[in-house]
Amino acid sequence: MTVPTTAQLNLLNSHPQMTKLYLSIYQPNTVLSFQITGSAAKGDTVLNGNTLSGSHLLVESEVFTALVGTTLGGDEKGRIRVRSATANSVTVPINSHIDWASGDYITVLRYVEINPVYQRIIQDPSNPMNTLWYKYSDVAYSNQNTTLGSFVCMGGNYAGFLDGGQCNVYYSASGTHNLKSEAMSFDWFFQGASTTGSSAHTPGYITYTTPGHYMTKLTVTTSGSASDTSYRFISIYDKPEAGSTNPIIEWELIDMSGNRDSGGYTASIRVRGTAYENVVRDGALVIIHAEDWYTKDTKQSIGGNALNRSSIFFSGYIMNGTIQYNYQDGYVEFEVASPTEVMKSMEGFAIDVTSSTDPAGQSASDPNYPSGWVLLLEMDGRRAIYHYLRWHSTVLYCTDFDVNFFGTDLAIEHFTSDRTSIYDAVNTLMQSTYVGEVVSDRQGRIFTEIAVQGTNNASGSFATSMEIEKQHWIETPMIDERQVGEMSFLEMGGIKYNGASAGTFNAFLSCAPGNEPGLRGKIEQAQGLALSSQAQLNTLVGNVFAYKNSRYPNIDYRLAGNYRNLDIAPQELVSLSIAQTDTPRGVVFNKKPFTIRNMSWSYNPANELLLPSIAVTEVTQGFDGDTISIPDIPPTEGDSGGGGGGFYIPPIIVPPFPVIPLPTVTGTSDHRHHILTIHPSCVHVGGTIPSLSAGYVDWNCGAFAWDDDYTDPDGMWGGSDTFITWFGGYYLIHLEVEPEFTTATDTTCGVSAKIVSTTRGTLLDGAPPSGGGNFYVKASTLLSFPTQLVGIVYLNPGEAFKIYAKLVTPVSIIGLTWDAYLTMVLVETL
Amino acid sequence: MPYKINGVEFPIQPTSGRWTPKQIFGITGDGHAMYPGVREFEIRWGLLDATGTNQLQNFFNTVLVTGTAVVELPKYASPGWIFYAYTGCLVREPEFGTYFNTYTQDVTLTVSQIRT
Repeated sequence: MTVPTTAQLNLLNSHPQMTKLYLSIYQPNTVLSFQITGSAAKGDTVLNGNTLSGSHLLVESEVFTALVGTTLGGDEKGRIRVRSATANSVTVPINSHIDWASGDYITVLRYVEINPVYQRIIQDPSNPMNTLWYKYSDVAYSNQNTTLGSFVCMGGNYAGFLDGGQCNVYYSASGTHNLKSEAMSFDWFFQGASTTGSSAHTPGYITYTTPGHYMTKLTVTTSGSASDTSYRFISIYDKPEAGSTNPIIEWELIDMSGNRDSGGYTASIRVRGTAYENVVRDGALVIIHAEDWYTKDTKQSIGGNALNRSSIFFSGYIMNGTIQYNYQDGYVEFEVASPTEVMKSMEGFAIDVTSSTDPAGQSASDPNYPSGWVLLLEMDGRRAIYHYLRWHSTVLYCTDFDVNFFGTDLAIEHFTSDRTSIYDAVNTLMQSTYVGEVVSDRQGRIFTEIAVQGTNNASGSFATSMEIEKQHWIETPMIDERQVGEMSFLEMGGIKYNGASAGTFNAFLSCAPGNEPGLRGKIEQAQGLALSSQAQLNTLVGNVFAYKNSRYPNIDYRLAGNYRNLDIAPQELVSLSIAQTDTPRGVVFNKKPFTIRNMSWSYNPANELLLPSIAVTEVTQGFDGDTISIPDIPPTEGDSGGGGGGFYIPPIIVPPFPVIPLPTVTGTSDHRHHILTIHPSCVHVGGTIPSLSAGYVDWNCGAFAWDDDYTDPDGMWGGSDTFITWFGGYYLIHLEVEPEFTTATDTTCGVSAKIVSTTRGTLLDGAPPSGGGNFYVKASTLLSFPTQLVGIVYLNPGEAFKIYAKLVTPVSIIGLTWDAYLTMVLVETL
Repeated sequence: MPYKINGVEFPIQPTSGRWTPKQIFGITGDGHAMYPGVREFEIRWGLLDATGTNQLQNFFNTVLVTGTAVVELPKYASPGWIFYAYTGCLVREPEFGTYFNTYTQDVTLTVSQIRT
C-alpha cells in the first residue's frame, strides 16, 4: 500500500477510469541441455554426460532450476536445483526424488523457483562420536552465522511493453536491509538490456529494446564480507497491434483475492486456446500488468509498493496441481498465488538455533552445540528469519523480502521450528513471538511486520493511505458491529532476553482486562513472546484484548475506482468517514482509523473496469492489563496460570527414606568443586574455598552462584548466597573433604565443619535436639584423609544458613586444592 | 460518409447503427451513477448478401488475432454529422440472423471499448 500524492489521489477519485490488463507467463531461457551418458541411479548427486547445447558457464551456482526427463526439455522425471556444472557433469543437491538413469536429459533453465533447501547431518568418519553439519549439501560452517548478510530487495518481477521501440524498467535496491547495519556495495547485471551492469544502489530506468524473457541479478556485499544474491525475471513484449511477441491475449481473470490471515493473494485465471499449453506449467511465474487511463485521456498507473512499477498489478506463481484442461471448451484454467502461498506448499527441515556471542567458538568448546550452524550471533527476529530463509530455502534468491516495516525487533534466545512449511516456520515465529505476520503484497513483495494490534498507538504509528468517504464506495458498506466482546480474559506471557552477552532473561506475565475477567466471551492464553519489560507486556496485552473485542471487526466496501494504492501489505491505515444519513443503521465515523485485512479485485475487460473490494478492521487502543506475579512453583495441570481463578496442588513432600548409604557424588576436573545436595531432587553446585588457613572459612564467600547446568526443579532454594530451606525438618549432613597432597605427612590433617543459622544468629552445634529446637553436627579431629563428617541438623522452614569448613591441623597444605562434597538430605519433616 | 474498419469500407454500408447505452456498474455512496469509460457501437444490416457475409466474417477473423482496430463511426454526441476514427477498438464476432432467400437477415457487428 502506498500513500498517494494529492495529484494521484485526484486521479484515483476521477471518473471515468479504464484499465487494460495483460497476462504474462515467464518463459525461461535454457542455459544448458545435457544428457547423462554414464551410469546413474537414484540418490546420485554428480551426473556425468555430455553438453548438448548451451554452456555450463551460464549456470549460476546453487539455485537455477533444472528439468529432468527422458526427452530433451522434458520434466517427467522431476525438477531439481543445479549446484554447478561443467561440460561433462552436472552436480545437484542431495536428492531421492529422481530415479536417475543413463540417457536422461537435464535441461537447466535460467530461472529460480521457491524451494526448500535441505541440510545434511552425517556421522564423522574419523570420530563416530561427532556429527558433521552441512547446509546446501556440503557447505560446512565457517562464519556464516557471524557475518550474517542482507535481505535483498531489488524490485519485483516485471512484464511490460515496448513503447516507441523501448521499455524502461526501474531498478532500485531500496528496502535492502543488512542485519549488521554494515556498508553495502551493489553489483547489478541486466540481461538483455542496453545497460548490462551497475554498481549503484538505484540504477534507475534501464532500457530494453528487444522483446524477450530476461534475468536481472543483484549481488549485495557488505563491508563484513557477507554476500547475498537475488534474481528477478523480466518479460518484454510487443503491444498486440505493434508486433508479434505478445503477451497472452485470450484470457480471463476469474477472481482474485488476498488477505492478511492467509498471507497473500490467490487468483484464478483461464487461458483460451491451445497455444499456451506448454507455457502454463506448475511453478511458472505469472505477471498481470496494466495500462490505466484516468479522466479518459490521462494514461498513468498509480499504486503498488515497488518503486515506479505501478503498472505491475499482480505477480505470482502457478500453483502446483491446479492446472486443469477443458478440451471441450478449449481452455486451460489454473490458480496463481503469491510467493507466500508457494512457501506454504513445501516443507522445510526442523531447525533449532540459539543466540550466541561467538557461534564458531562456542560450538568448538561446548559439546551441547555440535556445529556453529546451530548458533546465531546475537539473535533477534530478523536474524532468525534470515537464517531460516537463507540456509533452508531459495526464497531470498527470488523475492523481495522486506523487513523494514518490522516494528521494534527484540532479542530472542532460541528459534525453533518444527518440520513445517517454509511459510509457517517464519510466520509462526512472527505470530507467537512478536504478534506479527508475514504477508505478500500484490506485486509479490513479502513484508514481515508486527501487526496493528501488537503496536501501541497504532493509529499514530502507521501511515494513512487515504480517507474513504461516501463518494469512494458503491452502494452501502456492510458493517459488522460487535456490541459485546468475544473475549473475556486474555493472558499473555514471555521473556525479556538480555542478549547472548548477558545470557540472562526476565519472565513476565500479564492479563487483560485485569485480574477479573469480562462478563462474556472466551479465555485465551498466549506465551512465548519476546518482550522488553513488564510495562510493555501490560500495554501489549491490553491492546490485543481491545483488538479482539473491537466494536467494528469488519466492514466490507466495494470501491468505485481503481484504488491500487491500497493493498494488504505493508500495513497502512485508511480513515473512514460515514455520516449518520449514509447508512440505515446510522453509524457515524469521523476519519476513524481502520486497517485492511482482505482485498479482492474484479476485472471486466469489456468495460475496462478494474475495481476492488476491501474488508477493513477497526484500529483499537486498549488500556494496560495487570501484572501477574509468576509463582516460584510452576502451575500444575488445571491451573489457569495464577490469574484465572485456578488452583494449586500443594507440593508433594518426599517422605523420609533411608539415609544410608549416602549418595556419593563424584568430582570434576575442577578441584575446587563443591556439590551440595540438599534434597534428592535439588542439587546446588558451585563456590570455592579461596584459602585454607587454620580457622573457619566462609563456605559461601566470594562468587557463590548457581551452576550454569543447574536448574532448580521444584523452586526449593531461594537466593544464591545464603541457603534458605523450603521445608523445616531434620537434615542429614554428609561432608567429605579430599585434598590433593604432595607429601605423605600431609595426610594426617583434619577438618571440621559447622552450620550457622543466619536467621537465628546461632551456631548450630552442641547438644542433640530436644523438643525440636536444635541440632548438632559432628566434627572430626585429626582424621586421615579423605575424611567424612556426618551429622544431623534441624532447620526451620524458610531458615537461612551458611556452611563453614575448618582445617584443623596441620596448616602446611595451604594452597593445595581440594575436592569437597557436601550432601544434605531432608530425612524428617516436622 | 462511410463506415470503415482499419480504413476499409464495408462492401455494403450498414442499414443502421447506434451507440449502445452504457450500463451502470454502481451507484456511489453519494448517489452518483458510475459508468464504464468505454462505449459500444452496434452496426446493423437488414440484409446482407453471401459475399458481404463472407467478407464480414473474414474481416473479423483477421482482427481477432491482432486485437484492436481503427473504426470510423459517426462521432459520439457530435454537434454535426461527422465520422470519426476511433482507435484501439475491439470488434466482436458478427451475429447473423436467419436467411431470407440468398440473403442473411439482421446482421449485427458490435464494436466495443471505444473511448469517446
